[in-house]
Amino acid sequence: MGGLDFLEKVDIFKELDKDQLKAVHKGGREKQYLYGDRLFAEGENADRIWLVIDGQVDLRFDLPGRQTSEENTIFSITTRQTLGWSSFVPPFKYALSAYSATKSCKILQINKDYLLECFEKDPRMGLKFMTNVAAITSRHFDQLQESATVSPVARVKITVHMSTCGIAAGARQVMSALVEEISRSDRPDIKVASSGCIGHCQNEPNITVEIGGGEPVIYQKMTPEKMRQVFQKHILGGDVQTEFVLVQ
Amino acid sequence: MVSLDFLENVEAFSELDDDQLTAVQECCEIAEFKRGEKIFAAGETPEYFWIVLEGQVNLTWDAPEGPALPENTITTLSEGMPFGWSSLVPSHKYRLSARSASRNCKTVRIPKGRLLQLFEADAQLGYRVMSKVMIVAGQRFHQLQDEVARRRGHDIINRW
Repeated sequence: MGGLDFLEKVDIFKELDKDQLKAVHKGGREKQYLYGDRLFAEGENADRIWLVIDGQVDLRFDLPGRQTSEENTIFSITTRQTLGWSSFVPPFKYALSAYSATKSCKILQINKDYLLECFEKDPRMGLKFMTNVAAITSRHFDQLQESATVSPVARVKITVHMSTCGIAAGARQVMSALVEEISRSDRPDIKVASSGCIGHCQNEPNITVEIGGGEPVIYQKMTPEKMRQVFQKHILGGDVQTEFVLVQ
Repeated sequence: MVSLDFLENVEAFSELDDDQLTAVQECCEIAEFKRGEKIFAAGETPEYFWIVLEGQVNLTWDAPEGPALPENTITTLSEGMPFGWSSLVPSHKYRLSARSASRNCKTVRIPKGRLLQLFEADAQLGYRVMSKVMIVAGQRFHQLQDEVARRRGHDIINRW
């Protein structure tokens, strides 16, 4: 699962060649977590990076004397994304706590010191890695600025594109199935919105799923059945349903 | 001309040797600003990586189209401190706004294209600088994250 094929798709290792990926892979160690397990706590020493192989991890701030809750989530990290870059930034402490947010969550851990040794031997690899990490930080900056202006309760946003072409293709039925699933789920943090055409009329009905400030995922040619599957497996389970994702 | 002594005390360049510092020095330009004057705004396409040479610079988190409010200041930078790190990553827009916070503020600016060329020609220089730039980016991010957590924490506690 966490082999070279996986590593080459991970955001922080973008553009690394095969030999560089092999070097990284040697230092990796897989671990499995269950829903609610804490991977690390705010304030602990940050000495490794964590790559999500499968599932979803929520990064939350803890409030003194209160139990963790999804309301405290600042970011959600899903498959092929990374957490723990605090290990490269003084004071080298985790700034948030990380919790498994799916039934099961598989992680690949790589020790920071091991990576730094690799970079000393191969500075071009280090340059690519640091540039990728800075680019991810930059993207999180945008998400954080955006999340600061929205309700903390609305953590998941599902947009159904209900243009004339979308409605003709069955967007209303998709919306009905979605509303039904939400009412069964008892999840007040899921917000539904409708919007216009996104310019892919031949692939309508389209929906966009945004979880905890993460990258939006656009699904194409949706039906009520596909909507139910996306709801159960992606929105509740954390697994993006790649076979329905819009290829742009 | 900016001195090598100044450059080697800039955190982003602190691990470069003299040849690498000289290469960076050749790319440096000086730009001056008056108090309150905009250096760049969030959302603009970044053309330069910046360092405070004299005076102070405020980095603010401004709402799009909104005014620069003192309460939105994330940090104040003084001599030798770098800013505009997002010029060196493929996102191509400044994340925060920068304004002069002193009567006369002198900055060093390095065209991003020239700096990226140096990285391409000398990967060790690139790695050393980007490792430090990553620290600057992380610190700015943590400052913003603390502010967001503080505001969200207040919201949750007030609702409780």
